[in-house]
Amino acid sequence: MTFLRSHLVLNSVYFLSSENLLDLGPDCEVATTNYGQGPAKAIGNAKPARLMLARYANEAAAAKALHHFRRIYLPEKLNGPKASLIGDNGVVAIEDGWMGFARSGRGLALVFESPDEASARLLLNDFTRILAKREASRE
Amino acid sequence: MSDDKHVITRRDFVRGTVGATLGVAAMGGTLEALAAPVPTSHVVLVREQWVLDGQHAVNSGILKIMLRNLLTKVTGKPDPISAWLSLVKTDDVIGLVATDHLNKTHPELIELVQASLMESGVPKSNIRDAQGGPEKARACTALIALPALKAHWLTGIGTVLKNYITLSGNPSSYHGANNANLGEIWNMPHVKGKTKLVVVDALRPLCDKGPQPDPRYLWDYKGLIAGRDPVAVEAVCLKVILQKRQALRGEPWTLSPPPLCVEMADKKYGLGTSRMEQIQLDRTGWNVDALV
Repeated sequence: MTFLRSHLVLNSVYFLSSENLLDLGPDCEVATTNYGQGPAKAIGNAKPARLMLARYANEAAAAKALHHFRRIYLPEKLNGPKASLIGDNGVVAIEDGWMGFARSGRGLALVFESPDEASARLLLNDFTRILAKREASRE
Repeated sequence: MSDDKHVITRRDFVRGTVGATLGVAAMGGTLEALAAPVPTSHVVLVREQWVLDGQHAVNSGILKIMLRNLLTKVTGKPDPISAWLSLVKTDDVIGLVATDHLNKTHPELIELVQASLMESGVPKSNIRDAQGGPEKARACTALIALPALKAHWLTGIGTVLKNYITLSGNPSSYHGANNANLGEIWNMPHVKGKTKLVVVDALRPLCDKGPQPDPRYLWDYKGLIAGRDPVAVEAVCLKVILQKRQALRGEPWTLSPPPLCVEMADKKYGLGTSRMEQIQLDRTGWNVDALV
């Protein structure tokens, strides 16, 4: 598990882009880790998914970051005839597996390299629930 | 929005390693394009077990044989003289661009290249050090890149493409994520088209850290890696570095900053190919722990 605030640090853990796609900075908190899925025996051989949980200063900043990320990372899913992702939640197949995102308030959960759609959705649901619970407990 | 097209993402890297056909298909390529032969760049890897002794000192006699093998394999010529004369002219002003910091190019290699050029008829007065500034490259009609194989704390990999950073006149502008733009230096008017050969000193590479060489990450690879396509040579070098890092850690160990320069030199600056499947790697000599 890695805690970070900078996209440069993120890139040293999990390269995402040459640019700061998630608008990370001193006002953000990000935790990221690999997550093995499936039966315990299979985890050792399976390629783990990469999870990221980000919390921004406010809801507007989180929404802006998600828009920025989708525009650059998933351009073909956002525009044109193949557009399939609008809104704050989505799961989509890309080159290295299933990738998904879910925003809840000022929290943003991202999953990369998930082996299938169901696993990606399951992880996103779990983590948005955790994010929502943490926000509620603070308030 | 206008700059979005130049942003490199993880997906670009994945596409690049998955295979050429995916990239062509994504761009709407034709069946003819898919059926066309894959272009290749030729990279030569020469290794000799005894070129370094137990104290890492260079055996110049063996290194000379390695250089000979390298020159003949890169050019397809039978001997070093005809090899050099297929690359340069005897009246060229030839700049040797070696690396002078962090993990320096072995002076024995620089001296052997100089001697070999002189044996081929190039006057000593026409062979000079071109490392250090744009004016040095401007004064040359041909360049021989002689970097040493290393990871670099400011550019991810600090070998072929970064070797010309001082020729830009503004080295610090290529640090961090801006290493992606290192390829543009090779297209600057005083540099473009002048590089006749890239010979990477991989005798004792450095696979991590800096600004000072950390002895934990130096190892005796005992190789020279060469070719005429700087990006292809860099791609092979990057693979050696990454494989060594993985061997040390027992799991993938990414470089920081990410070495964006390699793929960008291919895709944005058109200097050569960064795709391993388009590189014909010609190996000779010692093959233990070759990593590629």
